[in-house]
Amino acid sequence: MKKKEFEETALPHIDSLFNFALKLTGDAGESEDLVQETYLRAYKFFHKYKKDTYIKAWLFSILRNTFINIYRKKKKEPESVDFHSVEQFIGQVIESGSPILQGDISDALSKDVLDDEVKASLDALPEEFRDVILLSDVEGFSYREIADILKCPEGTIMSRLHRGRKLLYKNLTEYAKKRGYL
Amino acid sequence: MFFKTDCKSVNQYISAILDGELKGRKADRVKNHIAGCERCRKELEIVKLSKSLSGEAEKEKSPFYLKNRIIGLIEERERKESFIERFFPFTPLEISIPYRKSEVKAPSFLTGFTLKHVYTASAVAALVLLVIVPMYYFSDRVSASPIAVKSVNNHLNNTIVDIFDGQMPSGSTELSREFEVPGLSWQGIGSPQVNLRYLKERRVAYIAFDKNGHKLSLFIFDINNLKLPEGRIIKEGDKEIFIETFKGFNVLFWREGNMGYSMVSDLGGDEMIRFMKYGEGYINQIQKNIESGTFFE
Repeated sequence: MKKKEFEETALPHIDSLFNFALKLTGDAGESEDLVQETYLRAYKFFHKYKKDTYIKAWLFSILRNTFINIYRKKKKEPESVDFHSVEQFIGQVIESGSPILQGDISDALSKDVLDDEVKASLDALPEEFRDVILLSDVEGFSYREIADILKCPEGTIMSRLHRGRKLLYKNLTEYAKKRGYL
Repeated sequence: MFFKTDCKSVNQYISAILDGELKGRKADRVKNHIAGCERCRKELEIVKLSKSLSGEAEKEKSPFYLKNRIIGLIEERERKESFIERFFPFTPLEISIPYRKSEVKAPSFLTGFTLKHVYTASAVAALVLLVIVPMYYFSDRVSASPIAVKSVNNHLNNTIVDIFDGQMPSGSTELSREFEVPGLSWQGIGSPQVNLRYLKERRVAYIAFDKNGHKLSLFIFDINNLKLPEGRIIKEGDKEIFIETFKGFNVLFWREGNMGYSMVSDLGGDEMIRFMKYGEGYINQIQKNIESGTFFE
């Protein structure tokens, strides 16, 4: 039966969808509405969902479309990131010869502080990088699936992810240094 | 043997190697380079750390009521659809009436429309007015949840038939009591009529209040497994309240722990919610007495 199958396969992903919605909208109330609308649309088109594909990826792509169509009428201009300085920073860390992860941030910060800081750094990333990191590193989607969700080529996903990870590392390290943890 | 310049062409693939997304000869080439290049190896370490930090960050959980709300909305939609399909084996939006493009032109003010268009439009409009609109109207009627229907029937008949599974009550005790309820009297609410009964092992209470001639019924059930009814949901403090209207009565329904509350009245919804807030302490007191078995002592 349609409803039972939907409840068993689609609804278990509600937390992941909510978490992603929260990053997109930045507001708990809007995230509830967005997740609700996503599920109602998904249910309506459940017959079109191809059984051999990953249902979580399908739900995420509905959520993102819904977000763009309903909640964000105007497309934001991508923020510019000074990647030269990111590369320079990474270069310095590497050339300093000291153990990279002398920077070992996870040892320096307590779990709670680290958790908050990672979340804040993720939120602060320009959304094109934030979204790929969330979909890949938080939700575990493949490049192919992320490309489908965000509607851009796999090559773009690959390079955004790599740059985004370096940017996140830079921000976290700088934070830890500023606070005297490193 | 790799030259520094190799780093440039390889660098962009480092994350893909980490993620196992690069296959075949290209992957081998990049892996070989990384093995022999200190710089790229360290960069791999960096993105690896970044990946694991993001992955370990705690995720936000959806609020507990969201899942129920979505299931409720889906059920509501299902019921409407099945009702419509019983009478109309096709969806109203897909109705198409075939017509041939007419040679006869409509008057000039209708440029672009043929008379056939007008006839077709009229036929569709008539269909919508005479069939589809009433159908949606009636489908709303039948979509009231069993909890709302039973609550309203209890309210009208002063009975306390189980709103969850229709058990008839037994071993009833009934009495009227005076209670001092701060916050209630000045709102014009009189002494409640309280009716406590048993349904097999479970206790239920029915409390009827009178406010300026309007009756307000409150049913308290101890429940173990309750499926919340469908319908509109509003938030009031930390409570999720399900609202439905049946036969012109408002039904508010909420739960707390293993207690379910159903409130019925012809009073306005906002007034009922105000009542719910002011009456909370009072209701809690009754509930405590029910739980400890001292209610009728």
